[in-house]
Amino acid sequence: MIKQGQTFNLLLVIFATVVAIYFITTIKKTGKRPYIRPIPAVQALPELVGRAAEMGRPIHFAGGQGGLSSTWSSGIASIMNSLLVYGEIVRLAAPTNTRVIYTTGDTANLPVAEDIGLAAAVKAGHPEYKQDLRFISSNPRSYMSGIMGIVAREKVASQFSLLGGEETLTAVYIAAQVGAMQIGGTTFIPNASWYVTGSDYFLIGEECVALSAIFGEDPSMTGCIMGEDIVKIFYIILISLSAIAITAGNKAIINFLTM
Amino acid sequence: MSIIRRKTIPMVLLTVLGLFTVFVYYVPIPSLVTVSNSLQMWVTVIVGFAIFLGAISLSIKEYTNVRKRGIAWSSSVWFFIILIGTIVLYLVSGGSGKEPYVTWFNALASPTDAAIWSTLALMIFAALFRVFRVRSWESTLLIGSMIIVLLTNATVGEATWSGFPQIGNWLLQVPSLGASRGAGILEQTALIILGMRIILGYDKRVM
Repeated sequence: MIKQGQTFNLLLVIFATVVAIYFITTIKKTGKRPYIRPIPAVQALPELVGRAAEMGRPIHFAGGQGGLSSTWSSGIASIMNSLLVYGEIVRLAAPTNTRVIYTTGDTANLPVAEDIGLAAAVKAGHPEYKQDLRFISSNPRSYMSGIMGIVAREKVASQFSLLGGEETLTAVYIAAQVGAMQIGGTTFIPNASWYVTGSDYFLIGEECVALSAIFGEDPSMTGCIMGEDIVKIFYIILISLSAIAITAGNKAIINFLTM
Repeated sequence: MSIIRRKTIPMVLLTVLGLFTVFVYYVPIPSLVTVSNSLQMWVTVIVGFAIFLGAISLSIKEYTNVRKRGIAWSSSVWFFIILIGTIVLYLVSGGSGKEPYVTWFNALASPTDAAIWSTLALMIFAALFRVFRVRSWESTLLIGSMIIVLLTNATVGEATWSGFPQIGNWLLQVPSLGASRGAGILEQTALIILGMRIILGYDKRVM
């Protein structure tokens, strides 16, 4: 009945979901936000905005050439999280009227970003804050040339980007050229190296996905991170046992995983 | 619109259809697979509408920017020139595969595209230069690994010492691959949990 080779995957999805829901409901009941390891890139957001405010120059928020209308799950998750960070940056930038240039290559992102930015500005007590949202192109090369122009012309003080496509290196490089402070991250692991080389602070893989729980107002969302930690422990045990079993010539675990 | 219609109905649809699609992926009952495939075709249609809606929203925004002489309003004028120009050219040509649309694409869009793409080569070298700065013991370790991998791929490496390719391939296939797979597995787990918490209605921020 279950697709060949997918039994373990299905069990894993159920296990991860049940564990996460357990922690979400527990935190909802107690109302206590659990301790989450401080992520330097998240802690540096006020510095990112503060630098731009002090220098009187704008912040570039690279929304990426892909977006909410794409069908790449990892990309959509990344965009969803980056939009939440955009809101956080607008909340921090609004009191000093620091300009945040949001660039995207997906038209579907614009109204969402506008709404999130407006909500953040209102939350900061500055509903009059003027957003600078720019659509460039869904073509990666056009997007790349667009952000090269904007960053170089505006001489941005800082840049935030959660990218995964071929525009990643361009965004990182051009911001480094103008001496901008950079925070960036990607859910696309092969591109992580560009962020490591060019950014001041970077987020890798699951850290990008965790942003939505960190910036959310609902503390129960942090239950997801606790759930992930439990699944991680399970992975460590499973990988260790598999390594021992394979070394001893026993294929029982491997057979179970591929069943 | 009442809160039930605005929030609850989309949430119920999301939960039912989301769980159904996940179920059919793992338990492919033929009749249900057909329904699931149809649903996934709807996604393409809905995405088309989302792009159309985005284009309208963008046009309104750019028009407002021109009217109010807002930030970089000249770029907004260019937006309309290119948008209308492309539509007119497309209609005059009678399709994307016909003249003069093809000529415009081959003569202007393709070379520009290639030119921008080629800038990545320069950027890769610049990124390498940044990495090659020794700032900490981690970066020293990275430089050491990079030199070995570089000598693995360059002919001069193997000619100098036959051990370079062996060490280089080990670095690529064991620590590098292991670390990237580990990061990938954790990221996918986070995505599963993110997806399920949205599908099950625990996170309503997407509504």
